[in-house]
Amino acid sequence: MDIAEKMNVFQDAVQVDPRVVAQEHMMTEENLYIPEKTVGAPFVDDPKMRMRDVNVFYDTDQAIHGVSLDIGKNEVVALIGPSGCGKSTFLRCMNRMNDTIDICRVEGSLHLENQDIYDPKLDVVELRARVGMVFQKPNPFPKSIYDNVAYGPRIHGLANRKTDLDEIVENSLRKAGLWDEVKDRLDSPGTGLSGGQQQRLCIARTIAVSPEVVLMDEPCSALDPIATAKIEELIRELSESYTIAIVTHSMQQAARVSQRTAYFHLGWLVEMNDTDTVFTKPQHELTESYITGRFG
Amino acid sequence: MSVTTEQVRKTLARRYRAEKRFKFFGICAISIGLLALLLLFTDIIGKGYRAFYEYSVSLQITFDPETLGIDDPRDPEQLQYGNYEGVVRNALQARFPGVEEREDKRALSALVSTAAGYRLRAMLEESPELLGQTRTLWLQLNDDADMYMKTSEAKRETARLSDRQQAWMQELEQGNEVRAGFNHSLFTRGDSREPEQAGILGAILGSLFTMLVTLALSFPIGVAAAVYLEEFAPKNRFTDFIEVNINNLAAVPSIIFGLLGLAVFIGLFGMPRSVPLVGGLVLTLMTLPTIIISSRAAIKAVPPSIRQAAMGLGASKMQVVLQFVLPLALPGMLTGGIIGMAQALGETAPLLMIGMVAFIVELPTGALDAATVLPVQVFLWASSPEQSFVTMTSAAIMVLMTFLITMNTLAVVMRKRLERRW
Repeated sequence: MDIAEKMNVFQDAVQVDPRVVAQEHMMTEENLYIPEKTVGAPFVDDPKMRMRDVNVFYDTDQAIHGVSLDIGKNEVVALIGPSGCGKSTFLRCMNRMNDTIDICRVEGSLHLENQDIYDPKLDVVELRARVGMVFQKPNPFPKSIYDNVAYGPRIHGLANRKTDLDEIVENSLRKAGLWDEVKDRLDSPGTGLSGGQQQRLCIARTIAVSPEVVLMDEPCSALDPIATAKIEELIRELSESYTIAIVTHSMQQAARVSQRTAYFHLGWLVEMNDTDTVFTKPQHELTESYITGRFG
Repeated sequence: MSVTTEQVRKTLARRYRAEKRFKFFGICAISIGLLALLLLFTDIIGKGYRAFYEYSVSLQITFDPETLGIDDPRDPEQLQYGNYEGVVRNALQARFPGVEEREDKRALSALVSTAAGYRLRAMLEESPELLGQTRTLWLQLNDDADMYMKTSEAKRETARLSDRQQAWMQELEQGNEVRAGFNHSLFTRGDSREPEQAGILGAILGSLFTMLVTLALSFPIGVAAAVYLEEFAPKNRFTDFIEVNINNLAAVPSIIFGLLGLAVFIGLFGMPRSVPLVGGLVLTLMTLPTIIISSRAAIKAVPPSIRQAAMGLGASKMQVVLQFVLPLALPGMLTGGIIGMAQALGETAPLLMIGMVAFIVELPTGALDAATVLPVQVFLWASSPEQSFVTMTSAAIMVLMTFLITMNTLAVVMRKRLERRW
């Protein structure tokens, strides 16, 4: 093979769809491929959030490839997949947290009920009041426990009187299962709590503004098993009044807390179905390989 | 014992030796630094401590109306032109009756500072009934006589007093008619040609007004620039260009800022020369890069998780900056600000260019009065020929150092206090 031929091969490789490259890669190693269309049932009737053909780019790198899925009302949806599969990126599109990254570009249609999330006329502040977020690492503000929870209601003007605010703070802490532990020390700094308590404080802070959807980005990955169990219990309780999308690395967690599970792979949504179905009868080989621990 | 363990043992001793060597070098480096500091301080304090006290002589002063040429002490005109030096001269001659020669008489009166005359006038102005009365007063010695007293016995041969003057001084000393006291004029007066009457209050006030102008301008401007560049400015070539230039500005020799100040503030805008306002403006230009760079570093150090948390709750950009970024970055900004101020306080070169090197006796009362600043005062005194100004120079350096150490300590304490951990 002379140099000209080599160059041709090289250029072919550069020009091909990365999806094909990924498929070839998969086929040689695992004999697996990414399906043309998401397997399973990614859509529901009357969804809370409706995402269609979402593409996300970091500069020129495409991180999400044509993902379409629905999140139903008061449903817990788990997004799983190996590291770097785009599940966190996808989650952050849903309340436009990706806006803060200059090189990030989002295409496709994302709707919260009838509201286009990426409508230029939509105020992102309003959106984030409706779609709250809990982060991977507990990140309480360097303020008191009370002020941490009261911050959201204050900036959005949800409580005009001190008593109203007190009530919101108490209710939020109760819902987050933290009230009994902190009711005597609401003035002490939120950063002084244990990791699990901090994460529940962050959840209380998020639900204090009464969002419709709560996005959780690996909320338990920095916590021990006992704190994790508490948060999972909390997620189940919260799903009665909120719609929740949770990114997790733990398949057991996805199985325990979610009604439906979406499996992402290299930026594609491979399979989405009822959680039971995904874990007991995965329809796609990639999903099966992942949940049986062959990679990830 | 396995092979690995044996191998590890062999290298252990060498590793420990390397560690010891490394520690030793570190201690050496610190010792050299401390030694330099010690040398500097011993030299300055050794020379300067004598400026903090002064000698005065006890004399029987008669407020003789005839000698003074004053018959009504309530008349300002007469008070102004009274012959107070004559009164002091008479008192000295009464103390040493044997002095007849004209030359000797002059040498004798030269022992007492001319400040004594001003003091007598002030006394008479305050209580006119003193006219005609006699009082025993402690009067300030002239700088040469003062230095003679401050010099140890063995070295007095080299003093600038003549033999006769030395003899008189010894007589006064033996009669316990001279005593040492705190040098009040050092902290209550402006500059003077007479070392014993010169003080650094004028320079301290000048420094104070200059620093106030610098602080009031450079801190808000610096912080605002840093916040804008970090939080709001788009990242493009233009902002890169600005960043490079700010870093460049930090390295520009300070005298160039002085030339700029001279050309722009004084030449173009017609501001007065030698005033703290212009000094403060020039030092603001000089301190800005330091404050911008340190403020940006402080803003960058705010953990992104806090920003995300606030934004996730729907806080606007402005709210995130004002409620979280600024409070968390403030300790770092203040530290940078104080260090910048300390740098400006010790700056001399640019102030020479805008005329703050003038000889100014009056104490400045505001940022628009002609004044000089501490480091320039050091420069002025260091280039004066009088022996006493050598000690005065060291004293001024000590005062300047005290301010600098206080400011730097404040920066450290503030950082420790305000620093929040999470």
